[in-house]
Amino acid sequence: MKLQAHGIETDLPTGWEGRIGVRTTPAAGTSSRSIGDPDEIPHPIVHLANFALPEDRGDFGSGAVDVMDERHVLVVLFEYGPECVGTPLFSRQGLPTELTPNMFSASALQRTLPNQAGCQVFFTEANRAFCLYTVLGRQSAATRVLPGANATLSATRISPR
Amino acid sequence: MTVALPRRPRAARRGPTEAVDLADEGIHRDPVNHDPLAGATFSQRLAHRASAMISGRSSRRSFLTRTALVGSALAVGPIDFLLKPGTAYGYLCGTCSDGWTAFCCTVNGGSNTCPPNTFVAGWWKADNAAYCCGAARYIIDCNATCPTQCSCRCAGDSCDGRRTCCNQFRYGQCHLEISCYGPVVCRVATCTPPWKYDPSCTTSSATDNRTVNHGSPCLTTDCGSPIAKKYAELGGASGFLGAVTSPEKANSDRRGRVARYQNGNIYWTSTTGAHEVHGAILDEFAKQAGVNGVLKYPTSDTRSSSDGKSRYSNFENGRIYYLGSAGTFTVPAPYFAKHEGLGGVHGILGYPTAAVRTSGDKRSRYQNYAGGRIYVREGTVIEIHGAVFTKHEQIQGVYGPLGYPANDLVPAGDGRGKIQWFEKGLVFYTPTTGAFGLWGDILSRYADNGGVTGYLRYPTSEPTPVGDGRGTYATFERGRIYDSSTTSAFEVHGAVLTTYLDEGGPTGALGYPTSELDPRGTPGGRFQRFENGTIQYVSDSDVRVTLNP
Repeated sequence: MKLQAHGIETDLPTGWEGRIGVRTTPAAGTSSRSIGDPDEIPHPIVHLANFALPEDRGDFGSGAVDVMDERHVLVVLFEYGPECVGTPLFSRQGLPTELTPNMFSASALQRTLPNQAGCQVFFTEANRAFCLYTVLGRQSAATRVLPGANATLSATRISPR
Repeated sequence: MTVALPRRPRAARRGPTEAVDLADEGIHRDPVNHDPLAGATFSQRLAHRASAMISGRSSRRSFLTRTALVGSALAVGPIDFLLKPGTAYGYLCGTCSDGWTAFCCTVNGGSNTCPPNTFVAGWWKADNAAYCCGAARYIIDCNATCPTQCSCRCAGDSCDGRRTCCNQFRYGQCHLEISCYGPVVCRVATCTPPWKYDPSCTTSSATDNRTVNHGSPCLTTDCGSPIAKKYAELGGASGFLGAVTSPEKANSDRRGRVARYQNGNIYWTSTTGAHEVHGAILDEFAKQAGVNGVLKYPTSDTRSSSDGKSRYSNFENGRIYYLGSAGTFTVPAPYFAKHEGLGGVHGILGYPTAAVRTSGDKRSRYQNYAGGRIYVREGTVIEIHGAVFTKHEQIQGVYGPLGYPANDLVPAGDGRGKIQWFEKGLVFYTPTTGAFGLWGDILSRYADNGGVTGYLRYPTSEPTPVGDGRGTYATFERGRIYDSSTTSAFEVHGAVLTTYLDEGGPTGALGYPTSELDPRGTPGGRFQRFENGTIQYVSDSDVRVTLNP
């Protein structure tokens, strides 16, 4: 299944699903701040998973991580603004496609949940700054689920905006 | 309630000091604290689990006795809290086992700010937050700086028993110049957009609405006045401002409001917003008559200068610098605009070194800076700095032959030097000659002869008495100008000057010059006339002196 939006495209393996989206921008000039400040700039967010993604998800996967089991892996691509390009945090060039078990840690999670492990890679590709956040449903299953995640990442392309 | 930390496979555990540096891979977790959970010692893990259990057992029993917490629960989820009190705890509180990080006010002495050894590392928002009166609520992560100086543990509060220094996660919108990060030590909750809270944060938005009601007894709903919000943001009574000493009230100017605390004040107007002023800066602000003085209302909280030498607060009409033992000085309008236009404290004038003063002749007001001075006189604002300032002061400043500066230092137009005009003269400056002033007839002659682009080039002295009670002279890179009470000012240069000086100069037999050297090609030869004779220039090696009979 191919997904393509906002200069990001991927070809998902069988059993995977995904979403590419941008959250609603708070309307400029309105007095309501219920969904944030008009100066906020939402950027594209990609959620890819080998399980059914719940409709209501946080940008870094909250809601989705709660339903993961040991077979599952969640891949999040979170884009930042162009001002991030060239900064030390985003100095790595290129989308990672070869995640290995030693990159993961049970501590490296937005919200630590039993057995899960995460990995954040900050990088720049096509002059666009991203964080790749990958969550494993069970850390000990890394060698079984990472090939699928790496295949998905290898099939992902980021174009200049 | 089960509150064990997640177990990890034995083989994956690492000691806390084992370095795992994956920075080249774009993974910037602290390499010496790669996995805080795995790094915890057995006793730490036991303590962690035990404290989490205690937190979980005691929290519900003590919950309803915590009036602040009940108030928050009523504000955040009134319907569910009243109809289903069993869910109220879940509205606000968290335990060590829920996987989230504790709020900073819980672990930082009540202050809703990042504690020492942490930095603002990123943020997210939760929409429609009751904590923010229906506006978005922002959660700002305070991650440990590398190397991490904290250990994974439970915060221990009966309501906010969440973790601290455990989750090595980074949202990544703030302090992008810092790549290495340790675990999240705590979270700041605010209704202020993060890029206004900390200018290092970008506006790249992240959302997680599941955290919208996360609370702590030390967090209050942010629905009060701007001053109340600012006070809460700064830690309330536990923050550096301390307890309220005079509640918020309108100022006599009917424009703004003020609240006073043990260690400072918060001022607000609809155009400036709410800002604190405290310490020596507040003392100085009071000396300047506060909001009723020249400065008007603050437009920023106290900030630190990028060079680390000062702290300062901005006001509608100026700035106050606190320089430690060097003093606290106001730079008011219009000095402030001129100072900023010249690069502020990082520019040619540097830091203020004194308050604004009135000159002895009452004609001006001025302020001294490390590198010069700004005069305000008759509606004009003029700066003077560096070697020109030093020279001006050497020759009695505004009371000397030059008087007040009339404009700023400007390029001379020859690509080499600079000129500054004064009431009664000019100062010429180059890096090789230094700064020298000219005035009177000598300046007129110099200007008539082409100034800095004439034969003489730049002055190398001021007008100086000859010593005979009659005349003065100034030296230049390529000659001199002589003036006397009975003769006009004339230039003497080259071989003619050499011969003139050999003859004793103005106090010799020739006396003062009474003409310029005839131009090249003058029929009958080139002569320069003096009071008592003539010098004829034939060539550099043939200069002839004739004295009057």
